[in-house]
Amino acid sequence: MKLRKFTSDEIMITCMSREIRNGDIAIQGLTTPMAIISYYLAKATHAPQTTIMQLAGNILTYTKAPPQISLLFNEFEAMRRSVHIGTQTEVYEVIFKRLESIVEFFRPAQIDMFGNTNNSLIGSDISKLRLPGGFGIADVAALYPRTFYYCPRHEKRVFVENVDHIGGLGLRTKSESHQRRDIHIISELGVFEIEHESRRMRLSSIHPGIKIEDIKENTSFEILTPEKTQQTSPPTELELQLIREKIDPLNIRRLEYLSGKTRENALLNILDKELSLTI
Amino acid sequence: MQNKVVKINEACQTIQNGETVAIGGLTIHRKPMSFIHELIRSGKKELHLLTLGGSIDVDLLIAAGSIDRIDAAYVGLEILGFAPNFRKAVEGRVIEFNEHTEYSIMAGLEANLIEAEFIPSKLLIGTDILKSLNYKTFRSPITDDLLVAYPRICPDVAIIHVQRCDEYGNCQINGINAIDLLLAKSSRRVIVTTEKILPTEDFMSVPSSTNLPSTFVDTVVESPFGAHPTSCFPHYTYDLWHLLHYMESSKKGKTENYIKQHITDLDSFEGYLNLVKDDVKRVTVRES
Repeated sequence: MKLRKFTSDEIMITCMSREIRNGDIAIQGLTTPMAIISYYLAKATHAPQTTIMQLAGNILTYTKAPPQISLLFNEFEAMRRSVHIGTQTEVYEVIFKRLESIVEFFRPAQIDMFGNTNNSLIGSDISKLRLPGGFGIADVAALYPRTFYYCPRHEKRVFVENVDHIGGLGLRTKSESHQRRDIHIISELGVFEIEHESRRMRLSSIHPGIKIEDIKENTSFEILTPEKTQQTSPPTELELQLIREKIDPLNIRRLEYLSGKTRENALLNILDKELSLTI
Repeated sequence: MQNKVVKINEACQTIQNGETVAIGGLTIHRKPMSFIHELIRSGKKELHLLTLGGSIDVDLLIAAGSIDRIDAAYVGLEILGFAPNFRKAVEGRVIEFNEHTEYSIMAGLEANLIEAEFIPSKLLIGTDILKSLNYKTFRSPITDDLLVAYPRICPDVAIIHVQRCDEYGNCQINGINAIDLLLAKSSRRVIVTTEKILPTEDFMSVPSSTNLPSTFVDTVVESPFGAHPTSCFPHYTYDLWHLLHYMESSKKGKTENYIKQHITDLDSFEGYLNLVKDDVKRVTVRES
């Protein structure tokens, strides 16, 4: 078999896509290009009946062929495919009614070994770093039977022993009903879940080319590992082709990995390309 | 129905220092930027701001010293990153920030709408967000389950930018809607800024498209490109270049210069549009 190279964003998107079951309702929150790419990918492969709600869930879209995502015209692209425009209240009504079917990928600033997440603030009471806020994560994380997080940067400062401020609720909770939930985490190094019995994070599969040591070195707590480690199935030719050529040829997904000046330059580069295509 | 059209400075004069002002739109989508400029130009102080998701709207008002409290579920510039002045002011405790979630804002507004003291719900129990909001919990009189009392949120005035409306305030909001209808219904007064004012006959042919009716609107201000540098579908998309420029100048501690140059040195929002006319042109989508 020919071994084709892929990047960590591509294997992450593939893993995210594979979590979506045919007939699920996939919701995109704010600023999550990898999430929307994974929804389109699922719809174009194993889950053609996926319903997609974009722009914080407000815009219900319909598409047969996988569309190309846009940075500059995100709302315009969604509107072009819209069958209905809702309100934020209605988004929550859909969530409450269809809890079992909802897939929503959140990106936490911190996640701990119990699956608690934080997008509020980093640090102690004395010195705090203020983050933009979690928007709706804390509302729904504890409600979903399946909660999904994705972490493009698997680093110690993201995978922490205890989050500094609990937004999305993990499994270390007194409420029985909260403990039966499934929490899945997809990072650049592997796929993880919160084990029901121990309520601790456990490795489900490790991405090709990654060693257990890589995970240990980049995690602030001990991740439970099975005796025999399973390897993540790599993206197929079709999945790679769809991501690279159809859904995200401008490589918008890469922005989720970059920071500082590199990110700004990549962003301006994408914007210029989009502008030259439209005018 | 009465004609509710006034000039932007007249509409702004109705806002008193210390009032709770609700801002429509979401993050970098359909923010009433011309009105934000006017609030700053007229030197409003001690405002309490409420918005579902804020970006440059909140950040500018903070930098201008117009607000002392903000209630929001998110304040940031989406893919571009942190809102610089928001972050600095909250970290330095210059302003009070109540971090909400989508639900805590919607529940508070719903409570106000039905004139209830609070709305009960199980959401957010166990989170630090609930602790920081300092909301009370209680036992359900029916099941004895633990519930959160989401207290009513009562904005004095809502500012909402729309694509089109008539002189009475019958509005067609297009694209992302967020919680604008809820804001309009639950705020004491509603000021609408609009890209265009059109004859009422244009609305009568498609009444189901009027998603914010005049019955909830008090004041109408015509303000073309009034959401720039945020988006207003289908007329123009968000101006990420301008927003980057804003962030860049703010990181260097030069937001004051930005405000002077783009707002306070100018007589009106038209002056701003003229100053940034190349930026505006770049993000304007030609109508086909």
